[in-house]
Amino acid sequence: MKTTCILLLSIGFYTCGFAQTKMIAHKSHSGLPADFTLAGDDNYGNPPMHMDTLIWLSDTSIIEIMSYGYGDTPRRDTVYNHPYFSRPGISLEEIQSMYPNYTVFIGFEKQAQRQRKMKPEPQKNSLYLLGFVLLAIGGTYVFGKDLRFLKK
Amino acid sequence: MFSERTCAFSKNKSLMTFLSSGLLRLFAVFILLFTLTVPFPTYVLPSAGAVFEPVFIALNQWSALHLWGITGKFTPDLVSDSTGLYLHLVHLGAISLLLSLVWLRYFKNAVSDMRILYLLQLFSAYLLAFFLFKYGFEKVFKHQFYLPEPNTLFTPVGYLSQDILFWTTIGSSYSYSVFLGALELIPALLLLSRRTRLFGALLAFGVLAHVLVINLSFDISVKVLSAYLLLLSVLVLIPYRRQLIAFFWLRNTQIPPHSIASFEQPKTTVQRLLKATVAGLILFESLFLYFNTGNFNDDLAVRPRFHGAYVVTATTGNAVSPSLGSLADIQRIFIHRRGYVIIQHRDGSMQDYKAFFSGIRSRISIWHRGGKLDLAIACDTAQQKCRFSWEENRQAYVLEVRKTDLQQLPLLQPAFHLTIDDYH
Repeated sequence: MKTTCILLLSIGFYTCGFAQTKMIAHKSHSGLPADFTLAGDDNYGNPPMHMDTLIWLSDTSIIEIMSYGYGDTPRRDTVYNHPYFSRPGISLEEIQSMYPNYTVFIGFEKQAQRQRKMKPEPQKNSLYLLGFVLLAIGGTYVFGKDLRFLKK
Repeated sequence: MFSERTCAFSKNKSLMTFLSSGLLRLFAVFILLFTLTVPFPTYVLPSAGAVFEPVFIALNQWSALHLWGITGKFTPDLVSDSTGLYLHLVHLGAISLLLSLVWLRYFKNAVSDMRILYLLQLFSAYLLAFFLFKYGFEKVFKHQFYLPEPNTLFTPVGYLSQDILFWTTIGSSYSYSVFLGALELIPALLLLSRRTRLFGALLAFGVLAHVLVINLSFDISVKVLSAYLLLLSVLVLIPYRRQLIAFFWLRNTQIPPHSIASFEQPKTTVQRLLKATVAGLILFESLFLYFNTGNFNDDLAVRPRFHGAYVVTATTGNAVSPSLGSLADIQRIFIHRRGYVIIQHRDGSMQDYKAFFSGIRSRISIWHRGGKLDLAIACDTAQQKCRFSWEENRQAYVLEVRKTDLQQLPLLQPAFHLTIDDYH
């Protein structure tokens, strides 16, 4: 069993090589040494896909258009109940801040206007928390007398 | 029977003289801590190091200031060959020393030295196999030493630093890159089986010693990792040291069994299945990228639409751009595959800009210190001519350029000459 654990540990927690040197990646595009940052790309592998365009369809659905920027055929994907856009009261500025500044947003102005008119619904989690706090206060009040003997 | 026991006792005793219990535990703790605390990017499997990294970055910052007196700018992050990583090694060394002493003092009999050595070897062998698979496939599929980018091809050799020159040299030869990859994949495969582990470890030691020397000699910033991998290969070899000495130095044909042979019993079915699963996970993680992208030869991978080198032939419109300076000073423009536009000036100096090539719009957006610039690009592919145009402050700027056929460059010619007669 120990052997098995060792085998699993050896790959489960220590996977992949060091990011291939970011320094090489930086120099590959003639980056000056003074401009080097850790935020730069790693050296190898395909470049990541970019979010070209987001099109608002309805309160529950959007279209994502992504590409590698190769002149490749862009990939379209219809997303329902996207975690970003299904948040009530979210503004266009907030949505834009989550994406690169080259991403084009189509139709989101209308959505933002609609969201402003709508009152945000109270969060379910908040309701649970409120219920729990009320229960704790009520319980302490009802059983408080019985618990007082603990102080003696 | 008695003589066998006596023999085993003498072997164990000599082992302890070679590798003391303390040193063994020190290495075991150090390797485990390094494994758990240094973050590594992964495609599929989790990386524990990413969880602990903030703690150790904070420790690096504190220690740099209070213990080492580093007050200037430095990189505390645990990334390849950063000051933070070297500090982390010192910290891990100290923590490992402390923990191994506690282990030796209070829990020495919990696990026998032989078992620790066996587990350490097994752990090191699988870890090493993983790295060798990872780097081996990257070379075979031409992802590590990729085809040089256009801007590198037009940089005079004297202006390249040693590391990017090495990358460019190896990247220009497909067959050598594949050969280097195969040299790493073979020991990786051999390390997975106990029957072939010795041979695999010997090969891995040779390969990794060479890699370390290359990294030191060409100033490639993977020095710590390559030294660590070499250490792992040594740890895999240590239990075989008697056999190696007997074979290479004493010319002894009666080679004794290695020190941890008693732990290597035939596996049960469950153990075999688990071993296969682990090996499968290693291969899955190593190969995921290539199957996911379908890119098994990066030299042939599709480049961005306008990728390449362009010589400026004429300028029209305004002569001086607020963002890019004098247009007459621009000699070439390069489009880099990872989203960069690089401008080469007449004096040979380069300026790179982060860029985005839209997949559905014919334009390139580049970011400079003052903001964003949208370049419209119109090309006559038959003539290999293009026009880069943009507007700044309602003023028009145009660069007429001619695309250079990179495949015609001598470095990228698929040349093989068996005899010198082929040259004339």
